[in-house]
Amino acid sequence: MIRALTGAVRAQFQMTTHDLGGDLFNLVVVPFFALTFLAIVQQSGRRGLLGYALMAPVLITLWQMALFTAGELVNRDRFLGVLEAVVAAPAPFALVMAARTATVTAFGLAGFAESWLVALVVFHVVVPVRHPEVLVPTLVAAAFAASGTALLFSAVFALRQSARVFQNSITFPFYLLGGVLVPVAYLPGWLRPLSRVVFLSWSADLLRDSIRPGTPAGVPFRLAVVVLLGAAGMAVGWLLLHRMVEHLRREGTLALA
Amino acid sequence: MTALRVFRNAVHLGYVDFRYQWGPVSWLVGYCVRIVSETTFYGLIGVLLGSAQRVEYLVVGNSVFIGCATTMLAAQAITWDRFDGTYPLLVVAPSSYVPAVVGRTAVWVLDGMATAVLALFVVSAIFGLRMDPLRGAVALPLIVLTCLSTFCLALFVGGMASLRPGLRNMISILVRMTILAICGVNVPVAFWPVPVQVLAGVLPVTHGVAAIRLLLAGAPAGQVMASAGLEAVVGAGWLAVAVLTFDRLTERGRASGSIEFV
Amino acid sequence: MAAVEIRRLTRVYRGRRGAASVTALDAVDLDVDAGSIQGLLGPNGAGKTTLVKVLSTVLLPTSGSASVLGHDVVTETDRVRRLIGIVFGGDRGLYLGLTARQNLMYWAALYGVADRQARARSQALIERVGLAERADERVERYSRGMRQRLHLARGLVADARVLFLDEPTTGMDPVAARDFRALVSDLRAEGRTILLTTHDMAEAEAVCDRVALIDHGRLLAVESPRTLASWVSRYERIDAAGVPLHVLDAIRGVPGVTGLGSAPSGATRIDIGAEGAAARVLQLLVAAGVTSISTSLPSLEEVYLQLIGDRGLRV
Repeated sequence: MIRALTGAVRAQFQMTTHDLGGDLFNLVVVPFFALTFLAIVQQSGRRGLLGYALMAPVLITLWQMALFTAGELVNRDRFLGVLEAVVAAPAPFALVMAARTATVTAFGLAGFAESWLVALVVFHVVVPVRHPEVLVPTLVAAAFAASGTALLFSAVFALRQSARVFQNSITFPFYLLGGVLVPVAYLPGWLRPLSRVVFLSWSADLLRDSIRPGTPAGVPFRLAVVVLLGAAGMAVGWLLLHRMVEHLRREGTLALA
Repeated sequence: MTALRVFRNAVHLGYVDFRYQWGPVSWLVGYCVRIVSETTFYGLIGVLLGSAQRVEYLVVGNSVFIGCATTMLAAQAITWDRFDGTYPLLVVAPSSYVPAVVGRTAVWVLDGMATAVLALFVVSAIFGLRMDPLRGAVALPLIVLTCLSTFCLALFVGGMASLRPGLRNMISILVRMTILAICGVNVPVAFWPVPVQVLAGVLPVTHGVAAIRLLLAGAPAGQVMASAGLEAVVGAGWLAVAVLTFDRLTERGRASGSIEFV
Repeated sequence: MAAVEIRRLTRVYRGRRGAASVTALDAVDLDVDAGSIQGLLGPNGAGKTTLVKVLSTVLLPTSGSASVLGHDVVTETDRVRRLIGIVFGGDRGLYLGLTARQNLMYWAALYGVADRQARARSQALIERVGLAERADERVERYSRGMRQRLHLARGLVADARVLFLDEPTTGMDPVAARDFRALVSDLRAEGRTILLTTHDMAEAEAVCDRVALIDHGRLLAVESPRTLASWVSRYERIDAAGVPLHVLDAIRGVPGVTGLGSAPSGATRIDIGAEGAAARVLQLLVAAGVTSISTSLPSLEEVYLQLIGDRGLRV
């Protein structure tokens, strides 16, 4: 099991780093988001909000890696004609795909470094992190939650090819709901409960708290919610993938030949 | 009028491309929700900044931008003939390749125009921005102009992307993100250093969105027309470059042997 | 002992939206001896790939049973998966963005092979299949023949005792296919059991110890390749031009002549269905002074028709 996990992580790392124009495309786009957000805040003179502009691209990148790259892994294996062979291997299929989606999604954390570099190089701004003990666990938890969500995406897009037409639609509505730049408090009251079931909103609040003065409250609980929401996504994705394999074994539509 | 017939047939092909991607339900539910959310996302930043003026600036800029970003899909669409295996057939056909390309990709201009109009009016309503009806109506041809000039850039970008079809998405999106950042969509062009301003000046959207903002603010018609005129010049320039590029690329492909029968 | 035992294995695909069901496997019985190469020969759509899928646990049977090295493919799926290797034909089934070595390491990990052992085994397999010089190039740059050899290496990376080769030489040029078959023969010498599906009679003859004929999901026969070849040669055809009518009448009366017709060239075509009949017909033709004579063997599809078709011949 461990060998399968490490082998899957290693192979996916190799595949992802090979395909700069494809898998790592989202990382190329991050600086532009950072540039745009930081420019808006800088031009307005509200320097206290620069941290908001800095943190947003990280979450956007994690989400996009989960949605567009990790979420396509099962379909990609299908297209390559490899899916049967993976299913026939002793390692549990869902475990292998979970390891691979997590590997891809983790690359999204590079967005954090890119954001900081843009702030430093273009705007000569360094936003001090007052609470690194909040920042680091939040980034890790958010990456985990994103990978759980990615597994869910990969299962849904494999089971329902028609769902892929909505792939592009699951971006900005969630950035808005998730309060990745503008806190959820600015949304209409009726939308706010929806925000609470999206890990982005909890992560965004924690990231902003990590740069604000004063002691952030309820950090362990809030981190646990992020992890739990990610785990929930992963559990549903796992179940769907397991069902997918059983369905395809019964109905025989695994074959591409 | 072979060119016209080719163009008409290619437009139909473009429509088929569009329907392959979008049905009525997915366009309305999926696509429209996203574009309204995207424009609202930026408008909300204005609320965070505590400035009604900023809200309007961001809503107008991003509404126009999102229409132009949709139009930029034409750049990717141009490479589809390579993947379909029809590019060599277009090259060897007696008629010019250009009407076929322009026709097939024209649907994205229409989609872009509809997108921009939808975003502007719906999101303005969401933020309670009052728009003079007459000025709003006059803004429509300016939106059309801006989308068309973006289309001309898309033709050039798509032609260049054909050299590396695998990178078509990245190239197109990088161009879009550059426009988003520097062309006056979210911050005035003057915010950037002079070299960046010069670049912004030769890209679509810059003058078009400026013209629309001037119009909605009630500026004199002369100022609006001047910006619109500049946008038209930018578009014409990119169109000329695009047409030249297609011919060059075809000849280059024939010389190098890169035109493949798939 | 049989390495693979199949008992009344049936697989029915339910028809969608009012379409009729398809019986891909119909009560198949087959034993594959340990350490042998069993061919499964049949035209496209005969059920070969379906059988391989069931045995490799990728597909569940509708009824019947199958076991690999004593483990049931349905109830002991995990055990079976550790014992088998699958080799596809064609371009698909490899990660194009990885090198050959990286592909093998990944599959080794999925089969629980320890890293050090996987590295050594991958290297040995790469050399064995003749990919040593290109082992660290991405598979997307490989030719069809190279990819096929990598497929074989992948199927062996977990040191499988039982291999399923599903039309492995599809699309390969004759030289590459011959080299591949040599590799497969070597595997038998190592005591591995191989089930090889093909629609190529010559390939079945060249490599297999026994060949099972399958069509429309049913096993028609299981024989040695030599027997199969004799069946084919039994169903010879003779084309002759300018044959006098009285000679045609005499030929019609020869036991084992199954039909007289026209060849595409306009010559008379004489179909033979029994051993010895061809020699008698040729004697008659030569004695009548007919000089334009040619003989040919039927295609695989025609053999099938003879076996199961409306001519009523039985082997």
